[in-house]
Amino acid sequence: MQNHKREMKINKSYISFIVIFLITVLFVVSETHSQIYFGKNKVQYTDFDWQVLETEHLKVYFYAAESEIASIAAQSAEDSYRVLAVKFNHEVPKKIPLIIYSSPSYFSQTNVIGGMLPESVGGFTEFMKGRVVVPFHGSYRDFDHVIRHELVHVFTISKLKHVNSRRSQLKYRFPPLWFTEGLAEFWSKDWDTEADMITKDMILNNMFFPIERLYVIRGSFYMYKLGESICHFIDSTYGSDKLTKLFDNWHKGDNFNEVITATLGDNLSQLSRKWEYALKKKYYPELDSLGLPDMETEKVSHDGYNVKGVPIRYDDGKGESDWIVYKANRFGYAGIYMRPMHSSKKVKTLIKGGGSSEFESLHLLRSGIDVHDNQLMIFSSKSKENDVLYIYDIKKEKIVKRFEMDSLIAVRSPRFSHDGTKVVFSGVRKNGYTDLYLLNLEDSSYASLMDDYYYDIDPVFTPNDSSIIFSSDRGVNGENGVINLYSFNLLSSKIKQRTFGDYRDMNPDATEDGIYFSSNRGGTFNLFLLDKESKIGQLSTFATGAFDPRITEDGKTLLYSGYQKMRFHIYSMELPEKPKQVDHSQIVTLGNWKPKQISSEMKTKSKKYDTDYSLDIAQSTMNGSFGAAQVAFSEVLGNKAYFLFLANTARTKDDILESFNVGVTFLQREKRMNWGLGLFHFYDEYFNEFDKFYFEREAGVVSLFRYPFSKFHRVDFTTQVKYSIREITFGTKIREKTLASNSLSWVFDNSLWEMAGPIEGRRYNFTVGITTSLSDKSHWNKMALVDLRHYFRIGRNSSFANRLFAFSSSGQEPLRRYFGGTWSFRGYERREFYTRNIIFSSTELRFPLLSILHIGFPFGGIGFRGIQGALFFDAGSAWDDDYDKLLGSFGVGIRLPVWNIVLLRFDFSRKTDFESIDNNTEFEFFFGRNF
Amino acid sequence: MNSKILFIVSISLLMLISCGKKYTLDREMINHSADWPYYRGDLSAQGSIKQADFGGKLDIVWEFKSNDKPVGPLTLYNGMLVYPGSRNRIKFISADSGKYKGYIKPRGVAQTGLVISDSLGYFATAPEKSKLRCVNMLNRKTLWKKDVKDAVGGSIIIEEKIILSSAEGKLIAFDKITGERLWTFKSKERFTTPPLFDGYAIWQVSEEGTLFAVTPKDGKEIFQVRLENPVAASIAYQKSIFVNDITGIVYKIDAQDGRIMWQTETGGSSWGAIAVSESSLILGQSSGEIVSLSVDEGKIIWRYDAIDVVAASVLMVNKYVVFGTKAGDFYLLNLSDGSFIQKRELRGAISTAPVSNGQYVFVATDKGMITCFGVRNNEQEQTKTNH
Repeated sequence: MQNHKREMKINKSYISFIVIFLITVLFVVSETHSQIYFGKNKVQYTDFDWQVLETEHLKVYFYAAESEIASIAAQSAEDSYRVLAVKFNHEVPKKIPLIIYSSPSYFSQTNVIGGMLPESVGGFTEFMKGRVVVPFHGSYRDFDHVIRHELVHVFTISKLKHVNSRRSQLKYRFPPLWFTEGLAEFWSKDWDTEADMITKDMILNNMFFPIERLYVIRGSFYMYKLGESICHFIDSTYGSDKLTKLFDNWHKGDNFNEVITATLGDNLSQLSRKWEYALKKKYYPELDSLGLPDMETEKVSHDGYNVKGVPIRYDDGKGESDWIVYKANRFGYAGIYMRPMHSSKKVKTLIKGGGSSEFESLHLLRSGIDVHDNQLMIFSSKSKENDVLYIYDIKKEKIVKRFEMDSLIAVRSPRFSHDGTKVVFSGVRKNGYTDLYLLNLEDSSYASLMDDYYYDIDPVFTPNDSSIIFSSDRGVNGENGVINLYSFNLLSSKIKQRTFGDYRDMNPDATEDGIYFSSNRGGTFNLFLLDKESKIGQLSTFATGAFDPRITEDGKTLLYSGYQKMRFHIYSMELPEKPKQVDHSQIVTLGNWKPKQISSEMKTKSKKYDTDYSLDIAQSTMNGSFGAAQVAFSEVLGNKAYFLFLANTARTKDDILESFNVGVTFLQREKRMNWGLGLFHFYDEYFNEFDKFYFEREAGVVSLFRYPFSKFHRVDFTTQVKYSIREITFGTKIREKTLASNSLSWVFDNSLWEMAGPIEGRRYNFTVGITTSLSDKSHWNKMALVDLRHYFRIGRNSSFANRLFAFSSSGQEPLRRYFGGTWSFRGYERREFYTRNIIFSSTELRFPLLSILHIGFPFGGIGFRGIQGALFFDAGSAWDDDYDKLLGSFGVGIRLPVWNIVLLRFDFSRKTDFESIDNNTEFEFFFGRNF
Repeated sequence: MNSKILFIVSISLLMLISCGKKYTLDREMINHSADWPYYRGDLSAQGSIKQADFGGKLDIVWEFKSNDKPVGPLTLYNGMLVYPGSRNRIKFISADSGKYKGYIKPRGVAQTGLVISDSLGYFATAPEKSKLRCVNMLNRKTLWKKDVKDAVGGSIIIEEKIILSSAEGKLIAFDKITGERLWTFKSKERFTTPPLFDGYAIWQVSEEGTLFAVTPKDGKEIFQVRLENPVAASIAYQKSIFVNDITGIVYKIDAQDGRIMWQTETGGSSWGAIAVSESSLILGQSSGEIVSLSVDEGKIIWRYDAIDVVAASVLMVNKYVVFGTKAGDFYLLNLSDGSFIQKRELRGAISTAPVSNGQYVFVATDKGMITCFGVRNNEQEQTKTNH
């Protein structure tokens, strides 16, 4: 084995400039920087026809198919603008860019930000250019809420900028996330049942987070709700002017605590104590009359987050018994599981979501499932761009049918008819409207039951299959979020209102006894029965919340999703004999409202979108020992971007003109095929272990094409033509060539990540490349690379990771790779090997060590959460011409996450040549994720 | 030294000299009273000039642009416009020409407007420094400084005392010459508006909605009036105190006994102060509405909708009302019926109240633009200066 250990100071490597240049390109295309040659894909399935609608304060970007939704969004945003201008006492000086998508699926394709968007993201405000991006989920109340929530962020940024600018303050502090999100919630809607449920549950179950511990739930939905509760408390206790004044007082403190103190007279700690005390006084008395799900009923599920339980009779070979089929997020992804209702036998996994393009997302909370008596289960899943319906045979344990709906972007909560020939579901059209659809299972045809702009969800057949019961906002106050139950007669197509009042009546299950449903009548989501005489009886009295009622076959037990201890679980309860009757006055009010659209007087302009570029980043960086400038421009939708790079490596003033290093790249991500084109000229002195020091001038053109087949796999093709001249010393040429390089990669990545790195899934990269010398039409080099990584999960936070890596290159000037160090071959020095052939395998057992470690100092302390341990064994060989021998190393490692941002890696290892073990223990410390 | 170096050194010196111009008061100014020495113009903060010859036109007489953005109210002192700037300087501009006259350094971010009495200038600096300073304007030397935590708005001078309030709920009187603390009135409630004086008592409102009447002599409480909501501002006029709270309710309170004589809901939140004249009160709201009420009964006389947020107090001059919006629009309305006369679009939000010397109106924007409006005669050409 050749050992090309470095002896001299590190200079720029052979590809330093090329890397900067290409990484810039790849960075914006791939998911994250650390996943450049792996990474999941954001696929542009649809080529949107973008338009712009301008109003007094907004520029609304939308595509032609959603013009009505865009018009509703514009009106909602203008209304919100006026409200927020008063609350902030401020006007945003520039028109706000508002980008609207008619569905979450289209929204997930946005290029406004680079990363993948989790399904739970309801909208976002991009801070650099103040762009607001919001999808329409079907509910106008939620749409209005999200738009206003995001505009609160826009006003917050603008107001702070204004206050800081007015005071010429250079230090730009931003409020903590709990405050910005809490305020956005507080000023975008009234305190509602969901917020009350989250907060009350924490208080009643001793899981409360005071302000100083909110970092533990940073970024979560819980943090949003507690932040909202704090803002609510400030407003009601200290005065409704305080939240506005807080921004005006921004200059009065060096940190948020000082600003709070200057505004409220209390510091954060005092505020927190008073807030917690007020919540306890408010919620503790409720336990006098209300109960908690796990104290009053039987908890059926145990791990993770469990919802949408369906009771079935199932024979597992030991006789027929009661089982439940349900959706759950147990290990970081949604799946469909089944388990016995009354025993703790092993859970059976039916469908695992999030790991393949067939089951990209199972819509954990947004869509229910159903199981027919014939043991067929129906569910919807995102598959590439649209949702599809699957029928899964529980006995055969496989998918038996797949239904694609070309005209629908989303499909939710399918339910079988009792005769098993039809399915009713809630479908979302491409324009964003949500209606009910009927699917004929025999010929796979489907048709809509209505065609309007109301939000129609949770359909279910009545016992005789003659009507559909569903939830809808089509009644009075529907635009404000009121949802009642309705029936749709399949013969007459007539819609009849079944429940009434300003409530949210959801998740109906129609039986011979009547309609079981969940409702926030009484201020908390509980379970109710609408009987045949249209009387409503209350079945549960929980202090937190109960949803998704499903009755067992014998009609005696009710299964439901109960919220407690910050989790949803499936519970079962006996039906009360005489439910308590609740008031149910009937006022029939069908379809008497329409969502408000922007009027023509308020539109200042409406036109087809043309590119609108603005500066993303302009910075000077150090490039080796030289300064460099980087500038990036992108257009408002993020589909097209320019990247400029400029540096000069001249050593004397006579060299200045010929020593400019310039790179210009254009990126196009509007369509499914992403591509980039770049021009470059680089000149500098380089060093590598094989060629030692040399000067190289390179000028050429590079292009990159990326075609994603799905979220998980893609091909990348890169081609480059460059003129290259190498000199040992000034004027002494060692070669001068025009080279054409092509490389093709197939990449697969369905890995699931936690803080330390991937914990489950697979990652593959197969790459081949060839370079030809155009100067003498000769073969210059060729290259092949294989990188296979498998992660086998063996526990909630444990996994067994394997990596197999091979690289080979040959030709007149073969490519070489550095190898060795904590990120590749542990126990060996970083860059210990620089060869053209490498074969390597790594095996690592990853397991949790400590959940929390707090180290105290006289001046404070530092805490680490989720500390992991690792046992590893690496083996490999690197050589140029003749294979030498196999080397190995083994050892232990510790991974310390710091503030969920940085991972500190400590590895202790010993080397081996498989004949003896080195007596020295090597220690390596570095930052970065696991492979 | 060769001529090249000499030239460079000379130019550098010239640049250095011209970078800053420290201001000292002309001795002839010393005994002149200020046109607008206090926050809102006078001790009672009425925000109006009755005996004025403002011509009812928004001609731009001059404009002054500064990178030192105004962070406090403007003060008019014998032909000089004074304001605290964002770069920790108190700047002086000629009210006649808009020419820059110089600055003094407040040693901290000025949080209150400057009050000038005789040759002494008073201002308070924002937290971190939190001082009330008295500066001899003849030589820019600090005569005395006292700790005042988070001072509010502006000070008032009564009977050789300088009196100001602080956010922590204190009303403090100092001897205006020696800086000796004479008395302190303490409340458990927080103060966010400056005190005012009606010739009989000092009036101070709290954030929580309490109006305190305090004797100027020794700071003893005379009585207090409890209102419903946090208070935005208060003014004194003809033996009455007018208070507007943040929800837009306006109160008329008898200054003799604290009795609420009337209260009117104007229907929108307000943060600025009312302006008052013999017959009407004018209030600007965050919703952009300007509301006129009768002084006697509190009945709404007229409304004008400017649409954009009105955060700064309005001003009455002669038969007119002027006000600015956060969008940077400056309006001129008829006082009698609220009819629109003229609007000017300025660069930057208007967050501080305009001031007037009777003939002209001066307004500052958050972008550092100060503009003088009035009727421009033929001899006056619009001037634009930068500093």
